Amino acid sequence: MQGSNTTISIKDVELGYTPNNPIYPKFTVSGDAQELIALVGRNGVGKSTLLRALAGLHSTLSGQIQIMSIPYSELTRHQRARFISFVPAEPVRVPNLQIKNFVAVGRFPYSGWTGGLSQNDWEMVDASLRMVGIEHLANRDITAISDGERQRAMIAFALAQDTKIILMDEPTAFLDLPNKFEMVRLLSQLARKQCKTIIYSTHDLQGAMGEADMVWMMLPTGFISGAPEDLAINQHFQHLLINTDVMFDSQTGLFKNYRIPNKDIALEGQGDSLIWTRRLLERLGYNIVRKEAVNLMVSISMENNTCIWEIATKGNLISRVDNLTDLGRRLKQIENLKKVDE
Amino acid sequence: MVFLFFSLSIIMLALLVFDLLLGSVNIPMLEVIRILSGSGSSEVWNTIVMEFRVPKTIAAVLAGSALSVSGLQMQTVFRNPLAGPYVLGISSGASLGVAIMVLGISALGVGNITGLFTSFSIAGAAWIGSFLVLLIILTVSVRVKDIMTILILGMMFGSAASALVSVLQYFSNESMLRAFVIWTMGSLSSVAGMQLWVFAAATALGLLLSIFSIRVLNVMLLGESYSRSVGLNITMARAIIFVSTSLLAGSVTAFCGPIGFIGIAVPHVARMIFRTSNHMVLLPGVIIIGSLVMLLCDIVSQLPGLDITLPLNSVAALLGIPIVIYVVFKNQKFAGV
Repeated sequence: MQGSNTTISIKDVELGYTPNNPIYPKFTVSGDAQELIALVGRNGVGKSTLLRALAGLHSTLSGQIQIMSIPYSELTRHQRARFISFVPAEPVRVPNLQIKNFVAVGRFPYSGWTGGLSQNDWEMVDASLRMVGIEHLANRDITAISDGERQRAMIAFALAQDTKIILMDEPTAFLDLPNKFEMVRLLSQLARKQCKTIIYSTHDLQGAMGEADMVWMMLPTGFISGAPEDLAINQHFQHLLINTDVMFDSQTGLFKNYRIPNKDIALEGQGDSLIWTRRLLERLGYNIVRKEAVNLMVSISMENNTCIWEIATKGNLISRVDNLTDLGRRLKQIENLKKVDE
Repeated sequence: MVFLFFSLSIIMLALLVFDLLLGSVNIPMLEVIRILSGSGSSEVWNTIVMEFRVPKTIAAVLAGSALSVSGLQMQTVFRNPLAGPYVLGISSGASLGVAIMVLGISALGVGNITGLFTSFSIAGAAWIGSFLVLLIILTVSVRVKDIMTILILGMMFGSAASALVSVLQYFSNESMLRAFVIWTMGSLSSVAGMQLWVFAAATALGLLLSIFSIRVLNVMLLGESYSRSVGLNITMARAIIFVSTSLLAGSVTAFCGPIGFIGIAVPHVARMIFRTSNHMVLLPGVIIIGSLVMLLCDIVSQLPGLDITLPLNSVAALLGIPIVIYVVFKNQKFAGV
């Protein structure tokens, strides 16, 4: 399993804070250079504990961790700071702290206690800011930028630290949807182009499916790792969803709420409008069946370049609408009338 | 930035000169300059300037710098805007030392303390008191990793020391009580001759340690996770900064009494003026502003034109409190320093 590209290898490691009281069972896994690794698992399973143990913020109960083939226990504090950087989950909110000065602290392992920053150090700071695309914010106060920009600044810090391994605790937690996607994409590019192993914990399985090279899945029962596609084929994502109403649709790669359809409807039409009408009906709890088997039916047609939805019961047209919002509302009304009838 | 430093230095120098001119005896400015350059004509004036005003002015600069630098360090290490030089319980320890010395020993009827011996031994007792508190804090900080726990323990030690001081006060006689209370009011004028040298040396050593810690302070500002991630030896860093703070704040307390508020307020003024959190700028910044504010306190406490002198501590508090209130209202969420 361990190749020449392996930067981090974890063998029979047991996580926990007090001896004889492990919070997570033994597991073995390794990470390579140029890999973006998504660490997933339910809240409280021990993702942060693992990251903090890898970052050296606390120790493990048993097992071995090797960084660049060096046993963790033999790493000096100084070596560790040059091999591993850690980006905590909490956003940095120090008033009057300029971004470039914040990122410059990442050069600490190279300049020591009293030495000032060299020309080379400042170039590294500039390059890191460029890599995450916030070079124009270098002189801005870190409290005066958006959450997305601050998260980028925190990544720039790790890049300035110039380590083979970057650990990030929930880097996408505070971000909006486009920023979440961009962030994971940025991490994936950095891993590949800058030849780094980036391990980030996340609850955004969709982002992980889209960009991560590896998924480390921490289940209460054990550790599973592999390419996200492997985990999908082997139905491993379902393990994350045990005892929940969420299911993984292995056709679309999407997660959705599990619903038992409790009423039937027939549907006719084609193209995109058919796909989205089907989604609407499924969301409303309808089971789509052949039109001979049911009285209620929706048919989609085109009139003068606009889409028209017709609702019919027993072949009689009862409603015509030109958008899905109204279709949903009408169907609910029809349902309510039916209940009154019964 | 350079302009800011330049103008602040000019103001500081102006206050320095003004402070030298001020006093119960009116000496013309030209004469003061002549005395300083060693060609004074009046023996009495010469004595007043060289043995009272110059040491007092130097003490003001030393105390102002020392308190402000230790306040800055504590705010950064504890990442708390309301931390100050005394959060570790240093002044309480010093007070306990002085109380034991002034109240306790006198209560036992040992010795009659007078003259120079008095102020020197008061300083010594204060120093021993603050040093003992430092030892306790260092021992704790090696074992306890959580900075908030250290902060709370520091405050507990401080309260315990204050309680003991109260007990001693309760059992002491009136004149000794008065001597102790006057010490707590703070004064720059009891520092002269040999004491000034000791004060200056201790302050210089403390400042040297803090200059050595500039980069470390910039790291610690980001909190523990970042500090550990970049490989900072946190225990060692804290120890060095605690020693520096105790040297600075302990010496001020020993020689000038427990002067409050300047240590909390000045770092905030420096941040407001320089708009940075970089200690490379803030450290020299608080030294200049701290000296400036202390000189101002000294000038105000002498009430120019009147014959009475106000207690230094009260003046410092009255000048400092508006600043602290402003900071509290401005940083309502207390996030960071």
